[in-house]
Amino acid sequence: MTVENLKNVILAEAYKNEDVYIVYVDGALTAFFDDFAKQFPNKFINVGIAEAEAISIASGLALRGKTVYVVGLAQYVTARAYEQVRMDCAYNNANVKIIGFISGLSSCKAGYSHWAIEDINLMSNLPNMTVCCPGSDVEFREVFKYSLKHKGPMYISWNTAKCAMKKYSVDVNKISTIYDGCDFAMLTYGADVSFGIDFCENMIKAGLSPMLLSVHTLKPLDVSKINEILDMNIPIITLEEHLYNGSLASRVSEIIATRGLKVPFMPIYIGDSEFNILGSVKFLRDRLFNVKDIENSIVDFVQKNKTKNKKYRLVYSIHKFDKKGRLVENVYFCGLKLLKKRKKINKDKYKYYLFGFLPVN
Amino acid sequence: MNDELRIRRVKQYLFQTAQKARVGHIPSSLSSVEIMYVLYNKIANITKNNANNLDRDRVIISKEHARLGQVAVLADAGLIDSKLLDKFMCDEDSILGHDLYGAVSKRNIDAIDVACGSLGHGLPFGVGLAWDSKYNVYVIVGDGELQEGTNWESIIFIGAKKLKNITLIIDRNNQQIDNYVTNIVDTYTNIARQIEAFGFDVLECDGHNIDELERVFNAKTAKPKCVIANTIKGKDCRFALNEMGFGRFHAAPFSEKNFQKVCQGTEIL
Repeated sequence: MTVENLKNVILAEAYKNEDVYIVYVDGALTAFFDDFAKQFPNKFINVGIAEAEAISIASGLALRGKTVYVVGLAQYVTARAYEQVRMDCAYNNANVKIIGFISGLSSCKAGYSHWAIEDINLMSNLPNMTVCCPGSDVEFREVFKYSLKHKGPMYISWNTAKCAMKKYSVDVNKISTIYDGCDFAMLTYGADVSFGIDFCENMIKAGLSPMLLSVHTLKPLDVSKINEILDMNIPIITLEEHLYNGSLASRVSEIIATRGLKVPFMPIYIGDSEFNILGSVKFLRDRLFNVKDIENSIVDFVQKNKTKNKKYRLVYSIHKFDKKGRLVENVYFCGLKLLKKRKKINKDKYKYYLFGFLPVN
Repeated sequence: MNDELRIRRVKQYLFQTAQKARVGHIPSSLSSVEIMYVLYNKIANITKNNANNLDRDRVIISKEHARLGQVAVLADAGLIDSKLLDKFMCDEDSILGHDLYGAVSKRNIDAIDVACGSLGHGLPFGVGLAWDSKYNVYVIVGDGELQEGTNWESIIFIGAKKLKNITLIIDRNNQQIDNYVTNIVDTYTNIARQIEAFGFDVLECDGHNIDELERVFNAKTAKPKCVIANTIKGKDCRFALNEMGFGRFHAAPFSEKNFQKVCQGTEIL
């Protein structure tokens, strides 16, 4: 997501809403807030390079009934100011929304001092805290909208990875389905959503039917949806730029273990490896993830567990309407056929519906 | 009832509560009882009727070890029910212990505003309360507590932004849990000059003298105000220090014998 995107969403609200205050830890974004700071010098506080103080000040403001957004580098507003977040925001249930920008490995070349690869774990540990990690523009907007209504502390991790342009419906308390399929399910969030979309598009071209899910809200986690996927008994992959402890992978493992299921599961996360390196995001992902060559490893993993996938096929129905909106044709397609034909069909005349899952012998 | 008698009543509440609940932190509380008494009764605009309003003055006890004293002062001033003292730090009492979990947004315990069980939180919290507001905020910080870095982040901020509706009050008793402050990291000796250098007007006074405290709190200053109140940790019960040693004197409950001694010294009415 781009910085303009972040700025526009926050400022659009801050301009019109009297109770929205911004506490900003000096970083690379000052210029973006310049106009706002000039117009509302009281509603924008640049505390300087002082994360711990920023969180406490925000909590003080929240005590007066304000909705306060703390904007700062993800690593510093979470790990460095952890005690303040714990005491002043979480246990006090203060209405403070912490936006940690450049999360994950986004600040790749700055080294591990700047990477936020434990933030989800740290924030999820705290009571009252809601943890969101939007992966696309549409998700960030929805999460922000939710944060205005929600009373209580919230952590929003914001990354600078390529913004996924795909449109899909987002409900903050539920896992969003980006692609629905039956060959394997991929759960991811944050920077990896755009990776997941690219990857799944390739898989579709290769003749597979992937399911891609964006877990933008990590606390509270939509456990019922995860259970639903586990019941389908298809290979499951989690992918995230985060250390294992407290990650999505660990949560899904917990659910699998607690239910005593035997599901093919491939967690991909940042392993405990050598961290004294830096470079491009791609280089870091190759070196730091527990799985090397992610794309091919996933394909191998899915192929290995293929016999199980054949149990279900997606069935779509295509409805053709005439000018008056009357149904003239109703055709059912199984998974791939539809996707191949989709491009040729004039979209105005047809509507697609997911009909359901059909067992295949 | 005059101030002297009321202070004695506050201390009686304090000792009774500590004795009943078998808790310590008596010396820390005695150090700032008069400061809190003056703030709640004469300076801050906090009454029983406006206690739950958002636009009243705030008193933040950042040195949370004085919670016992604060509760006694509030009970004396009628801002909390004195029956609450019987439950202080007993089972199921999460209200009046070291912390005040949930106090900020879920329930306001009358005049108590902020949970500061961990040191160095009160001053930045106070900055957030004072920023862009019309009421006054008073923050009591211990001199040993000034070793925490967040205090200095806020002192820089207050000085730089010339925030005038927040008053920093330093309870300067030269003692922390293990030893004298001067023997550990000295935030005692030159503190007035140090704070002045950050753009404060510093007023010094005897922290146990009610008239003097009232005078400095009402004094008008050109810059943000810092009141340094020179106090004695464990005033009225210094004898316990020799017997208990530094750490236990700070935090442990007194023996029955010591309780008898302090109670005899403050028999009232």
